[in-house]
Amino acid sequence: MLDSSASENRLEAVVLNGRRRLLVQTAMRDALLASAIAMGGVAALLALGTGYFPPVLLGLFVAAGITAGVLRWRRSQPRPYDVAQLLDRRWQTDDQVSTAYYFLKESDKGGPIAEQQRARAATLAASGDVVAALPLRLPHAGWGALAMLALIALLFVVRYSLQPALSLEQPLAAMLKEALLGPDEQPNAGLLQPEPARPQTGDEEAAPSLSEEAETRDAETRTEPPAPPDAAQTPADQDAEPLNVEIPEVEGLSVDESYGDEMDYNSLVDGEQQGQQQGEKHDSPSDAGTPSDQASAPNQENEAWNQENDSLLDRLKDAFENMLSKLNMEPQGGSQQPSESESPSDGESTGEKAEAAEGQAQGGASDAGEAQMEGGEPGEASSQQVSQGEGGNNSDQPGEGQPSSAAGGNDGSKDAAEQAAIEEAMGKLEELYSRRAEEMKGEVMIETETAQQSARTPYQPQDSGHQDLGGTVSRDAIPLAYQAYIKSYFENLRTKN
Amino acid sequence: MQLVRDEIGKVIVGHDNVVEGVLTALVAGGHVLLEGVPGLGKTTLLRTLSRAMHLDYSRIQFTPDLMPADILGSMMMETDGAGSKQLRFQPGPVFAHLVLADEINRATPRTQSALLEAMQERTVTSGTTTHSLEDPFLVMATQNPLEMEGTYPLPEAQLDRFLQKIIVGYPTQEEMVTIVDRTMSADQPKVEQVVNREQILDMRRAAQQVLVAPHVRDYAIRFVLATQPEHATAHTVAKKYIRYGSSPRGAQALVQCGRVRALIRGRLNVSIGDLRALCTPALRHRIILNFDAHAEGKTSDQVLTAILDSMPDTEA
Repeated sequence: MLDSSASENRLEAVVLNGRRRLLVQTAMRDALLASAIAMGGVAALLALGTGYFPPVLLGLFVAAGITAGVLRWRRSQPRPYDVAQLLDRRWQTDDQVSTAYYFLKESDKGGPIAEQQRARAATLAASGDVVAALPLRLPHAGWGALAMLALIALLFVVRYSLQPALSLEQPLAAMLKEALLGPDEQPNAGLLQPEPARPQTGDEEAAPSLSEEAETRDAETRTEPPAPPDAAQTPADQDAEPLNVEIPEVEGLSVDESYGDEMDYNSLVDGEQQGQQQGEKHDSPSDAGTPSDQASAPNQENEAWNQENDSLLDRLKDAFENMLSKLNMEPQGGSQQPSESESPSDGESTGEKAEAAEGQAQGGASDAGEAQMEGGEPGEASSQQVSQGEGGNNSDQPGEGQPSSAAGGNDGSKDAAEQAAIEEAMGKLEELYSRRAEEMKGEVMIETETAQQSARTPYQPQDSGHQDLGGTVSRDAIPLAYQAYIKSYFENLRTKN
Repeated sequence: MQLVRDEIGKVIVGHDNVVEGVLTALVAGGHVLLEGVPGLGKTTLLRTLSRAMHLDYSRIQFTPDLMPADILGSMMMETDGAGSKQLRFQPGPVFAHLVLADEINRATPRTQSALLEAMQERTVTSGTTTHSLEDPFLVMATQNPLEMEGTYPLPEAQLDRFLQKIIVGYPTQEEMVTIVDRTMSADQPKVEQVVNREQILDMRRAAQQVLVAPHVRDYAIRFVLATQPEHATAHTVAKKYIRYGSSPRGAQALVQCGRVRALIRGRLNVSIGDLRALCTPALRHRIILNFDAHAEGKTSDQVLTAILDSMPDTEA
């Protein structure tokens, strides 16, 4: 049995020795934890590349690992009393060491019983093996760190077996995809909705797809400075030369053929609007467009097509409104190019060539029911569509293979000035519509036939009043009860005329 | 203590846990409740213990018509030589160092209460006079778990007065061979007095000085709290099967018994191992199981063992 001071020193030395070993063990554990976190950042960098994982994030990972390790190490520092308990459990000494240490350090030493206990504990501690009780082992965090190290090595090998250059820009997934599936051909193909079935023409086959053109446009916008509208022709546009039919040049109107498909729809609506304008100008029956029953079917197709191409609709609207505003600002027969194919239409009644040509084109492309144009045969419309770049389309084939116009330049990347011009044009357009609405007079053309009579009042949004005769005739449908009366009424009118 | 155990071993075969429990209660100053079928040597144990320690011994067979005065004593009218008469307190059988209350659950609650009050207060009041019971005072009550008809089970408040509840089980085959051989032998073992009353009191004082480290004390408290289903740190088994958990008296009993147990093993400190060994006998009569436990056939020992097995040595 040791004396009191010797037993106290022995006991304390053993406990502190055990504590040192425990601190080393915890430090090793927390260092491995910190390194595992940092290696996680390296692994993420190797997997994602600098494009998705900037190098500053790697620094954050390292800092987070060090912080976590230090904080955890500081929190897990054991007290000597705890170490004594641990030694008791490992040595199976029935808490004698911990009790003796407690009454040695943390109490009033407990009297003679505690002194005896310290002597016993010192004897036990002298016979105990601290190294065996508290061995230095690879902590669990070490396995995690090793796993991260293996992952890093694997990523490194995979990455630089695919790409010899030491570049971390590209993500590993993209590299693997390229290696396994080849270069990415149409990354945006899946984003586009399939277009409704339309008859294929040679022009359309030759034309680049919308996705390709959009890709080309995106590449151009990324790599090249913005070019003036007239110089916005891309090589892809030049390749689509068969589609480059002449269009009436409008001052200040840019041409972007990358929106060829979009311009199909654009031209269709354009024709519709132009037809309305033309109908306003040419009120005579000879200037009328196609029959309304022929125009209703293309309208339905256009609506379905519009719904399917909602993603493009906004840009198309912008382009359309821009072009309309430009056209409305210009005199109708002014500086516009005469059409190449001067196929005369039935509605050609004025002597002004350009105006007549434009009227033909627009009449052929418009919703003829609204344009109130007669004689716009589909065949004629097709020829006009091909020959005139104004955008006149056959109503049955909306916008296929049409060359783009300047309206296509409104692809969302327009600058502020162009946007301002569009807004100004929209304001003028609205003003124009308002004025036009005021000028509407409700003139009705009635064709009387021997077999069947029909009243066509496509421009009249209001009911036509015949109050002097005591009846009201609807624009769209004449009630059956009034048909005989109307027939006789207009017969009288014609007789008078 | 080992000498006492050896002397008892001359008569009692096996039942080491019972012997140690009774000795622990004696040194700790508590009482024990023995539960077991008749014929297992409960009375013999206490008689042998009294002989080995040279202590007064009394045995009370509890019956339904037993009255408190039959246990505590009564005032007797005495006539002295001068012819004058006076009342004198005649002590009952409770005035002994070792009291065997055999089949305590057969007495009425009134009688039980009289004994239990004496156990707790260590005094007996008769009229206006209070009589102290001499230390050491150990009541060893027995219960027969089989014949429950016509019995008055002890209420929980009174069960709490017992330091330990010890289950006396059947002896093993080897132990029974020894028991039968000793019975057939003409030479009955003679028990020597190895410890006197003063030495027992010294042992009690020594036990009170046994060191209890904070982490050991906390373990006892954590275990008691874990048996209380309403407590935040209650064990899931306790929440499921226990209706009422142990009182703080349970923690006191654990530490008290732990000290004696450490002393019996020659240590000067209580270890967590001591507490783990004492958790079942010290707490099994202090918890009340709920209906689910009874329906599933769970016993207090099973519930406590389940809690004990999942109780870590140190607080998380």
